[in-house]
Amino acid sequence: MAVDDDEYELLPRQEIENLKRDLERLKKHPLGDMKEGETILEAINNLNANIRKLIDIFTRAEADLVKDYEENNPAETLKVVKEQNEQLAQGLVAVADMIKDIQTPKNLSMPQRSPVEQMNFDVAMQQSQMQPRQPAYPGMGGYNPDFSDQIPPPPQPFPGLESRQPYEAPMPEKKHKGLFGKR
Amino acid sequence: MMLSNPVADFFAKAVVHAKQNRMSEFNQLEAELIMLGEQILALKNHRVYVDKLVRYENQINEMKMIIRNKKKEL
Repeated sequence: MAVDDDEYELLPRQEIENLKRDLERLKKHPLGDMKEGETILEAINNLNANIRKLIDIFTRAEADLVKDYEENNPAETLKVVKEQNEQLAQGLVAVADMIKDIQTPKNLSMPQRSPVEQMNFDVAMQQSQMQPRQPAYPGMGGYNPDFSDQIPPPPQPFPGLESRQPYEAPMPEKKHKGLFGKR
Repeated sequence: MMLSNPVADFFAKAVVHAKQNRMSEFNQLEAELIMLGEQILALKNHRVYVDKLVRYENQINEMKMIIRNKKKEL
């Protein structure tokens, strides 16, 4: 038989009894009879209790959050916020267009000047207003009749157009193209 | 508070629940201390002399104060 072929060793009965006792003791106190073992067991139990409490707290928080989200309906709130954002964007575009429209006629009527040029222009205007007018006719001596109210000022050329003579620019020639002419 | 961030909302709720838990624990401890104080008073009324009775009473009062302070902190 197979059992008879196994090697075995005879042990004294006392030793077997000791081994049995140790096994029972380990079954009863897995962490040992020492104080450290008890402390570890107590710590593990405390940790278990704390983890259980934490899980409980998280479960309740989740339930509470779900309830709140169901009541408040965040998707709808986000939709409202999106619509408001769209309205704000449209308003901004409208304001930008208005500003552009206001600025464009000014640019056409008033030529752009740099700040220094604008200052020089203002000073020149003030001086021309403050200075007494030269006699219009030098041969008339001291006679200086004041016709300033009646004589209009001579036409001033537009700044930037002094050097250009009227009708200086040639008219663009328009080529008559045929019906199937190339563009 | 709501709708700022789901994770933040979740942890905010968790903190609220943890505080409620802690408060209920404090209440329980305070109740136990009150009961102990009443038992000491009953012993005094029956003129039962227990060793270190005054010291126990002082300790109970100190613990009550500590719990009250912790509640205020919460």
